[in-house]
Amino acid sequence: YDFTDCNFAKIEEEYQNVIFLALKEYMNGIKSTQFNHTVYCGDRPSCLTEIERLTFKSSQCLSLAKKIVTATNATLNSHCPGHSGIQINNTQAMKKRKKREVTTNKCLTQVSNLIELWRYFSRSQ
Amino acid sequence: LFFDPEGPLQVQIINFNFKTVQVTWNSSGSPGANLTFSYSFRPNEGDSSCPEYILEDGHTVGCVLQAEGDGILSFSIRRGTRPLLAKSQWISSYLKPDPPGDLTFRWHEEAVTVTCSELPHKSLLYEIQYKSTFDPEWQAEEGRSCNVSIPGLDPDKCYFFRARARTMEAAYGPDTYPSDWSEVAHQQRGRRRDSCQEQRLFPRFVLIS
Repeated sequence: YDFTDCNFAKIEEEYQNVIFLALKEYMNGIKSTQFNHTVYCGDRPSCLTEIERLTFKSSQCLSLAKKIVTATNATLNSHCPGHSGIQINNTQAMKKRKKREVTTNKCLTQVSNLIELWRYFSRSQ
Repeated sequence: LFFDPEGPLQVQIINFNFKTVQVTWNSSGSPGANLTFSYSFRPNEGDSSCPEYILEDGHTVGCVLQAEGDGILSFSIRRGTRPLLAKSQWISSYLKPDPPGDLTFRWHEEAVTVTCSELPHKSLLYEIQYKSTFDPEWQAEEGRSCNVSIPGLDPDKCYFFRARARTMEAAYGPDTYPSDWSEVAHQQRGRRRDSCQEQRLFPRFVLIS
């Protein structure tokens, strides 16, 4: 999916009001700077591409918080023409897995990279 | 200082307005050792060695390097050939903006609108502090652009004003640094003054009992 035609201002607004809080809650006081950052993006469309990959398609962390997945899915679907993210009931399956898995270091590393991607998206013009 | 406070190497990073980046270390585990620093801004490129070390008592305690845009700094610190630390971090997480400049003032009755030259970075907050010669403490107003209105002032008093920039956490994270303060500007009766002497102006209302 090409994110060039998304409404970036709206996405930024929903990131600051919803997604940012969900990501911060997930990290539970752990700073993202304690992890290595290896995922780069250089402009808003490419940031959303990487954000979508890390949020919905990564095999590294199977139990990303439902709040993060749901909020990101809703934001991209609302403000990116023709974008149809994942079906939320997939998330239900993810929810069951979450009960078995504690927040692993892999998930924290992934979410910290996700945080940095959203930050870059938020501060780029 | 951060990065594994109890570990052998405590490292601090400061990104000076995306111009230079300063990485300093405090190696309690290797006192007096000459540690070496190498870095890269592009993962597929080889490392560069530190262009400018910071020395203390003849030993390396930091490195100053040119920033290369808003990107990820990958660096490692070694003792001889043994790596003590290897990290990859967005340098924006450690931004210290330059102070805003050129404060201008537009007075309208008992309020003033203070503007200053904005920095080229997005998602900054501009803090204006002010006080009169009668105020012991600075007071503050803040805005997302450097165009901040301050009500309830007495134009007859002489006021000090200063400005600084801070980053928004959602865009830069919690580990950044506020800018230094701008130079202090003085204003009285709607005009710039060179200074505000500690004079005791008569207040407008004098209670005669």
